[in-house]
Amino acid sequence: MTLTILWLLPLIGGVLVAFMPARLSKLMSAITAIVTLGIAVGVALVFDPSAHQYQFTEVVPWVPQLSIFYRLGVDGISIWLVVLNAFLTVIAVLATPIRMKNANRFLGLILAMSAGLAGLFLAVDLVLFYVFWEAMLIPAYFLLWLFGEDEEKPGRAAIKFVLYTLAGSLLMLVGVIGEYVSTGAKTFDLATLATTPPTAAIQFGLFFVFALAFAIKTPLFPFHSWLPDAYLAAPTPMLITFAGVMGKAGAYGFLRIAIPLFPNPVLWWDWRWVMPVLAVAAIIWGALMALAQRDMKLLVAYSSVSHMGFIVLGIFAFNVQGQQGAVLQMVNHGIIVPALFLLVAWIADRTGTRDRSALAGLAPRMPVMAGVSIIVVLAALGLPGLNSFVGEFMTLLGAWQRAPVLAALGAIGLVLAPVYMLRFFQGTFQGEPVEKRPMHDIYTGQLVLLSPLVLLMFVLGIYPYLLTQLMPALGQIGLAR
Amino acid sequence: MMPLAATAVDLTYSWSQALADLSQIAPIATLTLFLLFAIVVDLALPKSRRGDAVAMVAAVGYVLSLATAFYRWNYGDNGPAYQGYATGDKFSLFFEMLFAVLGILTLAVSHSYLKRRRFVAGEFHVLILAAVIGMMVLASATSLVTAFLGLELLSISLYIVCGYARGETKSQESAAKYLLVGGFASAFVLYGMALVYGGTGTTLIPDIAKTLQASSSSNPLILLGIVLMGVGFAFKISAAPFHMWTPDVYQGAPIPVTAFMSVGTKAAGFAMVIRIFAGGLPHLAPEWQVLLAFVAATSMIVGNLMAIVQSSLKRLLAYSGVAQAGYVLIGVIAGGQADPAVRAAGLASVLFYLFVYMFMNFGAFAVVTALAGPEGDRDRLSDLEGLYRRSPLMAILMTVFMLSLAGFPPFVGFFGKLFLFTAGVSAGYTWLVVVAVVMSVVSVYYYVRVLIPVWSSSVRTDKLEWSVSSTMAIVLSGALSLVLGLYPTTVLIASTLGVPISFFGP
Repeated sequence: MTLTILWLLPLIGGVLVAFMPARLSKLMSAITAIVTLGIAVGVALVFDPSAHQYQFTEVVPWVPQLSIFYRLGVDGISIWLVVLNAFLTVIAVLATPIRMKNANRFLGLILAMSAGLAGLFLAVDLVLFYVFWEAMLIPAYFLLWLFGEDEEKPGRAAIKFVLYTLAGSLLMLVGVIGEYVSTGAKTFDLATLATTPPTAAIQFGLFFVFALAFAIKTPLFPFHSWLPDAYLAAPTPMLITFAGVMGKAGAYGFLRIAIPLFPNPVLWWDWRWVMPVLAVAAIIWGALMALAQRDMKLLVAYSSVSHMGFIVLGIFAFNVQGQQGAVLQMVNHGIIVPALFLLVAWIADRTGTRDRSALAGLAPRMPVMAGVSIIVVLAALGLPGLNSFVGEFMTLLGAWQRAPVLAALGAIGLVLAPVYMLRFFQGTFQGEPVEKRPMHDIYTGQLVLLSPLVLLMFVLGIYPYLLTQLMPALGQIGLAR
Repeated sequence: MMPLAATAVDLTYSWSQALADLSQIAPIATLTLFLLFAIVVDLALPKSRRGDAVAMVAAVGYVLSLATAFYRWNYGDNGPAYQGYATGDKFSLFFEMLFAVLGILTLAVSHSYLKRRRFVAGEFHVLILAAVIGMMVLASATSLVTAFLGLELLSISLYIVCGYARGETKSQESAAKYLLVGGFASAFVLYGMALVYGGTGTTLIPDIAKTLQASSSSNPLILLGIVLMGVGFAFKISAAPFHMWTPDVYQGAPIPVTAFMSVGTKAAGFAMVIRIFAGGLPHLAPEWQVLLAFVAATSMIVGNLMAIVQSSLKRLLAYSGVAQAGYVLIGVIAGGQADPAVRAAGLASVLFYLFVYMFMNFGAFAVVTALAGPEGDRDRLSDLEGLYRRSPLMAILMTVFMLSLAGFPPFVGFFGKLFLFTAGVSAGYTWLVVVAVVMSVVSVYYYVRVLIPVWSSSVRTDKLEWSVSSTMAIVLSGALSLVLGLYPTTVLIASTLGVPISFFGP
């Protein structure tokens, strides 16, 4: 019942909030989000790190004729994404300005999207996973379309995002059905399916359709072209959960479904080598594209492509360091990216432009903002002592064990990250000011909003064991312990 | 089952037999009684009160028919009637319930529409009643002759109501086109039936199955009959490449008629396809499976691609209906497999989809009904602009219908597709399912395109008037589109019961 509350509460809250007046709706959604976070943290505290199965499981027959069950559970991987989702939902709700047009609808949709994401991470039944996977597209679509910042062609980014994702996920539906038919186990239970892989030839095909869906969602290198449009159009409070959590859904899918269910997808070539190669390509391509951007929002968006590459590289290292590093990096990236987007939005709000090259010398006029920004930027480029370093190091360590060349090429991303990140910081905050107009420094409210994110950057950077201690408690076989 | 020889000789017909036969077709008989009563009422009452009175009679008729069918589903002893020419089995009862619900929905939506457009209400309801009876006859027919009888009753009633907007050229065109194409399709079906009769020597569907089981070699006469019937059925369920009439007829007909047709004729057509192909010709399944697989793939591709460019909601939904017919055919094809489990799952998924398709598709049309003014239907996409300001409830419901048609969970359209596709993959038609999902991606584009004007901020803020009855019908459809998605089990069980193993003959 506990896990059901984790997704049902934000959903019910979201529906109710959508019909409340703006001020009340913000209060109510904040309460909903905080209560959900409290429950999620509670689950994480009670979680048993030594158990090797799904915990807090709930099983209710849904469509017994097709052995579809409502099956929820958490293990050492999903628990962190559930907590991250609940946490970022609180931030997103608090970051939503009340004076925004139709703020109540916006908050309702944010909560609905968060509910879908929570359900996705909690589902341990293949059909249920798919249901949440698709259902969360609905609020995401409406958020991007109705509240998008794309003035010229409203809805274009939204429909692009939805069609891209659907192209992958509807093929995944064939995969879901194919898995059901081909294993002969007549079940959609992920834990059982992991013990009964189909024949290698079928695995080869099924891995392809699942991996395609997840690669589009992540997004991995050749499938990323929806991301810049969508991130550019998305309003900042939405980006907090959209970039922070939904981006992880694809990576989570690799870890939860593609790898354990199809451990040996080899026919005339080996899919297990295709994915890390694409991941390395994403790391380098994302970094290069980030270098070329003048729009700060796009810069962060492309840096996100690069960072997601590390996560996928870690997952397909097929060893403990790589996969734990990947999960750690999912959480880290989920903390850093919202902070970056928030800072970009606040800078743009004050200066009226998101163009990095049109800004300079903001530091003397907003010293606190500059101070916070440098911490976030350093975290993003992977400075030791801050959170991202540990995750990237572990993923590269894992990749090295699989094939040193992967790690060597992936490390190019580590070199490029400081270049684009520091150029972003130097361009905006340092140098001669372009104009002398006084500007307001960061507001106290904004600082309060950002402080938990910054705090976590330090905590996870210094003490990552906090997260990794639970990670060996896996619900499925097939993942590296 | 009465043997063939006995039917020909035994001419005695006892009262008890008559009563038993009548009870097997009780839902149809009930509705026929009310049809006759409605005609009398329409004649007897003064002009000003006719419409409402006939609507009342029709409503009671539908409800009683639904209740009868429901009672017989639970407690009746269901079996063949009229010497094997009709039946009251669960398959027919399932469809009778479906059509009765459809009748109620149509009545609820059309009555205020007719008033607004100042049409004569009485005749309209009588004709829809007749069409519903035709559909029910089609569903309960176990002989080619009875099936044709139902088909014609349904079609002829619909020819008239399509041209119900007498002043409009488009409506006239629609009726004329439907009459010509429909007559053409009927001729195809009849010719096919005649050939099958010539090949097997009987028109009783179970006997056809028996005869074919006995003769191992496939008779070219019967194969030709299958092809011709297949073509005729494809016309009726508006599957490509025999779908050309659909958009024009749908566009010209008054919206409640379009809504009724889009669900009713499709369901009735599928009932006939299943009864004759899966029930009567299971031994020739490989032949008609190929035929239907081609039709299904074409329908999905043509329907979805053509729907993209439509600017009229009626035409868009017409093409979407073509595509949906393609999805449903996957289940029918799976229903031809030799493995009884796959066969049952396939046909059950068809029944499930048709039942839920009624709510989502009818609901979408019903929302547009309320936009119509006295001068005509307003079904362009731009007419939907600012719907959420004019009526937030309807905007939400329209969103539900479109997302459900597109197959998004948690709405019921998702489960409908999941069941159909699972049956398709189990039957080994994975390529067809892949075509279906690829085309589903395309479909999302145009379903979502309908929502763009609905949620756009527009200057139009004048409130729309929704009659209580049509609001209730739309809300019911929307609620079921969601609730059946969250809890599909009951309807799925009913769909499974609707195709018992005995259905397939020997």
